[in-house]
Amino acid sequence: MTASATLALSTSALKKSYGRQPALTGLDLEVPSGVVYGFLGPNGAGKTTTMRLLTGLIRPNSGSITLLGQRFDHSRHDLLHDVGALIESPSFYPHLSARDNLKVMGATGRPVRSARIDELLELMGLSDRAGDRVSRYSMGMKQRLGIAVALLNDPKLLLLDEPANGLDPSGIVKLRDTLKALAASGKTVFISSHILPEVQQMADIVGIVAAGRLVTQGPLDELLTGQALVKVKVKPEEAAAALAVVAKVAGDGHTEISDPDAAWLTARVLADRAADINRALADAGIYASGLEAGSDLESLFLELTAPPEPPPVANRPGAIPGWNSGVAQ
Amino acid sequence: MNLTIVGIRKFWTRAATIVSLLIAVGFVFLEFVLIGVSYNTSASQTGFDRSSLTWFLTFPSAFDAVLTIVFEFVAIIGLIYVVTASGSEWGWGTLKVAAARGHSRWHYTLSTFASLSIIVVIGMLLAFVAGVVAVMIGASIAGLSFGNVADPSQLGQVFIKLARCAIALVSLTSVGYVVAMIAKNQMAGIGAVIVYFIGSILSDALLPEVVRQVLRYQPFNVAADAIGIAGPPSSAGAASSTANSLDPNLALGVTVFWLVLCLAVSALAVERAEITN
Repeated sequence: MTASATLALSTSALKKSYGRQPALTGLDLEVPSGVVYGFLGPNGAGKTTTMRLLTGLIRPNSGSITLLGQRFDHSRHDLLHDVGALIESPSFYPHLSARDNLKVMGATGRPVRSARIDELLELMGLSDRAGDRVSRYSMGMKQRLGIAVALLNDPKLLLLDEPANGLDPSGIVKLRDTLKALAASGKTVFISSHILPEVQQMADIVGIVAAGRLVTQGPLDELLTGQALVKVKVKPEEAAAALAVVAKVAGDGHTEISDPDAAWLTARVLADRAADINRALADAGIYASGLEAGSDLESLFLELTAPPEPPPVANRPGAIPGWNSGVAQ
Repeated sequence: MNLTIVGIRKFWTRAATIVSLLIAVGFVFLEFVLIGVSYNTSASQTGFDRSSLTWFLTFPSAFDAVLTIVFEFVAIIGLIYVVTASGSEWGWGTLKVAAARGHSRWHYTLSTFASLSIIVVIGMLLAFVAGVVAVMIGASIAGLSFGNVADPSQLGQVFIKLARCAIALVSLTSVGYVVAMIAKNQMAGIGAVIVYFIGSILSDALLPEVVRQVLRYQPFNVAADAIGIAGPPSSAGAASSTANSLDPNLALGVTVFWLVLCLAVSALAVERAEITN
């Protein structure tokens, strides 16, 4: 993808098991500098394990991690001085104020200027409540404070696990702007998240992990437009006629009415055929009220992380006939 | 050093710190006031030897009495306090934050213990001062003269014993600390400490002599011996029996050994720990 010198973070054949349970089965990540990288995967895919490994909280069974151009292992905790992290839920001393928590946590790692603490409280919109005990904070305020902790040392690489958790819409917008601004200033933001639309709005590059292994990685635009999918919305009564037109344009590409109620048709053709489909529909007197070329992140995610098809019911011992919907009896 | 000072600040403001301190100071204070009351009420009881109570209420012997009581109360309360405070570093995830910020784990472990130790020693000193004041009040209630509390010839010894008491307490709390750090959990630490206390009591009654001789070197025993305090006089007027006690200097050496061992194991346990909570 990119020369290793410009990678903020990379892993190679990274493996980690908890007892006999494999969590990562050979993860190869490449995160260029100065981007927002969305790290996606279903529950149990190995996202949090990856975050813990990247911050040295746990040790890999094998494989390697490179942080900011240098090989990272347990003996190189100094490399984390240029890394900020929010892993799982934010962690604080509940009896201390936000300001005191930042001071206490700023005493670890690389020393932090006191002015930096005020800057972060301001940035996260916590200045007014900076003297309140954190135990009195809402979940969203704690989340903002957790992000402030991650930003304490003005990190070159920011690792955030579900950063939008608990944030209200305006908080999410502000977070998005902040992270984009950080990336624009040359810092690298690595986000692990389940909120796919949020990642789609923020990320330049995404990596999707499933069953402890990376299933795809690349610039988001390329991944989405590279998906052979065009969706067209027409009037319900014109759906059948439109399907025939679209099928003609699509040729070998599979076409179907994917949402009969809303009259969405999908065609498995490259996104650059969208204009042809639109023109053909118009020539047939059918005017599309919606047209989408390429996939959205959710579709891409579901397609890439879908579990393997189960065997037919009849072949499975102990199967209950009719229980598995969609299987003809 | 900065982390130790910051640590004192973060622990000092915990409600548990203030409550533990008030309990320790309150118990010590109450103990000597009640001894004064007991002395008074025992006047009417025939055959009651009040000399041992006099040992508690008159200086310089009262210094030893105060140190004995302070050690007993602060050891238990301090141990539970250290276990809960250090265990909460795991429970709250704050140790995780320090590790993820690239702070050396062993340094964080030792700095945290240093902060907690300083708080325990401050608690010990406050309890000692409260005890000295309570001796004066208790003696007044008993109708006794409490003697010369500021005798320069005695104060040197008092300071030395205070320093020994501080080392003994810090060593004892390190036992709770290492349990909390290995178990990554404050409740496990408290449970282990309770089992240890009960085991110590039962071992005196149930185990054969040869085993008991070995157990004299366990942390709780040597810590108490390291202070070098003779108990109250017996009814014959001689100092109480110290036949089962170790030489104070030997006990101090063993106490320091336990402290170093516990801290080394704590640091190693945290250094190697997989932080998953």
